[in-house]
Amino acid sequence: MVAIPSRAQSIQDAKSKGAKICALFPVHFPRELIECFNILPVEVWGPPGQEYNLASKHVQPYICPIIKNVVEFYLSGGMDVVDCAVFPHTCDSIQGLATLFTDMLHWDKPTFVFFYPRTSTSELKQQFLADEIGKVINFLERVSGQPFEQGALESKIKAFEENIHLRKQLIDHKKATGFESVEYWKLIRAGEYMFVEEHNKLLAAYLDYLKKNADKRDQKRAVFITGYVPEPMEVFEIIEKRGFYIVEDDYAALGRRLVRSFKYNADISPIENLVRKCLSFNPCPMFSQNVNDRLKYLTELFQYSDAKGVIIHTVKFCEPELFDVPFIEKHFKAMGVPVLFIDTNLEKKLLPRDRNRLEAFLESV
Amino acid sequence: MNKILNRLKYYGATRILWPLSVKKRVSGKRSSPSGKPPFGPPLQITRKLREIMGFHYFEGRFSEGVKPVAWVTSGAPIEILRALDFFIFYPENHAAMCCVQRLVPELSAVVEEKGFSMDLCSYARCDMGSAISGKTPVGKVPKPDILIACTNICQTVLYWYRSLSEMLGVPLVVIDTPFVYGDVPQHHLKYVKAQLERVADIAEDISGRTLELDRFSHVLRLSADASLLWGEALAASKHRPAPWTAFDQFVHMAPIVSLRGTYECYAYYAELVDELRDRIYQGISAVQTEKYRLLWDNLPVWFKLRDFSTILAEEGFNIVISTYTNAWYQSTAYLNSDEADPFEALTEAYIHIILNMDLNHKLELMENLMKDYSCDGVILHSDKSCKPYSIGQYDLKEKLLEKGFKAFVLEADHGDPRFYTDEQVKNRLQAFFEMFSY
Repeated sequence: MVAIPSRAQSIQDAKSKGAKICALFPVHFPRELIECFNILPVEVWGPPGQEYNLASKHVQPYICPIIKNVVEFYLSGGMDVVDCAVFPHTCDSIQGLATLFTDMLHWDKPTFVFFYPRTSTSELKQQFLADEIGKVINFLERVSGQPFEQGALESKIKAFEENIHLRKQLIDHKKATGFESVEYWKLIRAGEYMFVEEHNKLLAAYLDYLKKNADKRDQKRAVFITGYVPEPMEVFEIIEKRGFYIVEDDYAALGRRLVRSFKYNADISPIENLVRKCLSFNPCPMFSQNVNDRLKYLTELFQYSDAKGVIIHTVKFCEPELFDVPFIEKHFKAMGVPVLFIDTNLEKKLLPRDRNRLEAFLESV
Repeated sequence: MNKILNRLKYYGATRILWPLSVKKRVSGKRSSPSGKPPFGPPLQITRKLREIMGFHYFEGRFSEGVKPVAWVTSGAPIEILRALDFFIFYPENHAAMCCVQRLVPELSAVVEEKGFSMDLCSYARCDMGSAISGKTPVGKVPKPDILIACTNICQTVLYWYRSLSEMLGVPLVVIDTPFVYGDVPQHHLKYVKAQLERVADIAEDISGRTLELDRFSHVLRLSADASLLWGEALAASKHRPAPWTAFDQFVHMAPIVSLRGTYECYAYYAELVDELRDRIYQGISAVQTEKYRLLWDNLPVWFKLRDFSTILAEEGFNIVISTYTNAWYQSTAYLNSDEADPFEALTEAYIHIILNMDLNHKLELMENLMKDYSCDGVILHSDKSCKPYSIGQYDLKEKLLEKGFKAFVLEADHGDPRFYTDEQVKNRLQAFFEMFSY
């Protein structure tokens, strides 16, 4: 197997090499932009299973648990190591989190809120993204004290292309062999807090290990999963224990960020390439205007997976995901596919009720 | 042939039937605020409110096939549509009526059965329930030709209208207004303005008309003037005792939400301002014994308007202003039709909406309102259904307490009585009242 560094190790390592640390909040942001300034973007979801002793004084019980998790983590000193923050304008909750941090919770480190356009007009979207990326560059120049270099961005974009290529190889390998474990998901999620080159080395080493050791096909059946963030990770353990595996996924934190349709174009500038990449983001309820685009995309992933069932796993109170749930259920049920919906609270372990429902669903599939 | 029949029905209904039915109702009984203790005499204009809002929904019943119909969010720049003679339907205003009539559990059940979560906004649930079931307190809701969602009030409208678009098979146009943290970057303004121009192009195509600058500017002026009058009406509550309450304002805000940009809306508020001035002149107090004055933050609890106003009035409290009713006055200054480019004015007005601005802005606004309206305290309605309006309220409360105001967070929901406990609210309100006895 490969040794996966912890968040703390990765941060410490980056700091020792002179890098700065950026807290990157969920969910869609081109990490290459931050990394090309030798700043390590570390995604902040807050560790699962926290008690909200501090956050409950600032955030109502009915607000998305990611917000409570992040506030608790910050107020307990978990973000002291950070030099700056980027909040992608993902939803009402992250929007509120950004103003809560800066206006009420004494967050005084340099902060940027990144808007991903929701308009359906592609020219407007493109222009807006180019302008917005220009602003992010100005911000990161100030934070890093370094001027922006086109070459540095180009090599980062290419390193992320390699990252996608390696992840696709891993998916293909999973599909061919049925091999999958919780380790696999931890490895993918390590990309949330590692420089892409380091993460690529890990992925390549893991792929190498799999090719050498997992040549026999496991007798597993595939399920397809969509949702926001895979917490608690126990979901994967149960799926594995019950003789199932996941080929493709559509977690916003995982597979949804795998931008497959993008190819670097040497004829245009790295910034234009980055804009094109952002325009190629997969359908996501945070910004999509059309439910059918998402259903089409999910069906493609489902069919490639040769899956026997669909699990929708959202975070409680997550409006963008929750609005789409009935359409996804209806769509797959009409195809004769069993569907399970669970919403969780970022607990460390699944609640008994959710565990039983997941196990019963897998048995029925 | 159908088109001619639809037109005949429309004109027959709106020009003949409606005036006759109004005549009949004028002689009927009234059921507006009682005028009995603890309240002062009711507002006379409430009857007119019923008439103009009643006509609005009545007209809607016959608009299909006669006028282009748009369903829009409450923060949508409808002046463009108004100038192109659209019939404009506001699902939020309709949902508020459903909330007042306690229809949310019934309508929400329709969508909950289809898999929509109870945790979603109750406006969205009840409105989608109404769209699916056809149940509505207004007789009939016209089918839209277009849905327009402006994200300046929340991102929820994007998901809600996306769902409606799928259910009804109607195209959706999203006006994306980036949230304002501090100053608005130029490229954000440019982006919003370009989207408004695109909406105008789409609306022209649907209506088969051209957006004429004179007409557009005229509508913009009517909209701005009505907002100014609304602001004057609200400001009447600066007088002590206040001639009306925020509960009256919640009811009388319907035209500024739904009929902005029409002469009827402007004329209505001109009359309202006159009546409020007259009440001040006559020394009429909305709450007979106004001892304390409060600010309300967030949407009202629509299904408890009467209960709340009574509980508060009995203790000598009057909620004289709210951040919610003030929102329809707040960005009026930007709606200046003398600007060379009306789209620029619209951009500025619709991006600077309280719900699209940061907590520092909200805190400053609340402090100013409390000072201007001589408020002793504030009730912050922590509204389960409106998360963007509610996030940050715990800290706002602390900041306001530090500044010497009395503050109280009320946990409830603007539309769904299943998230409301009478006893709990009464007990907590009682504790809040006690803060004033020290």
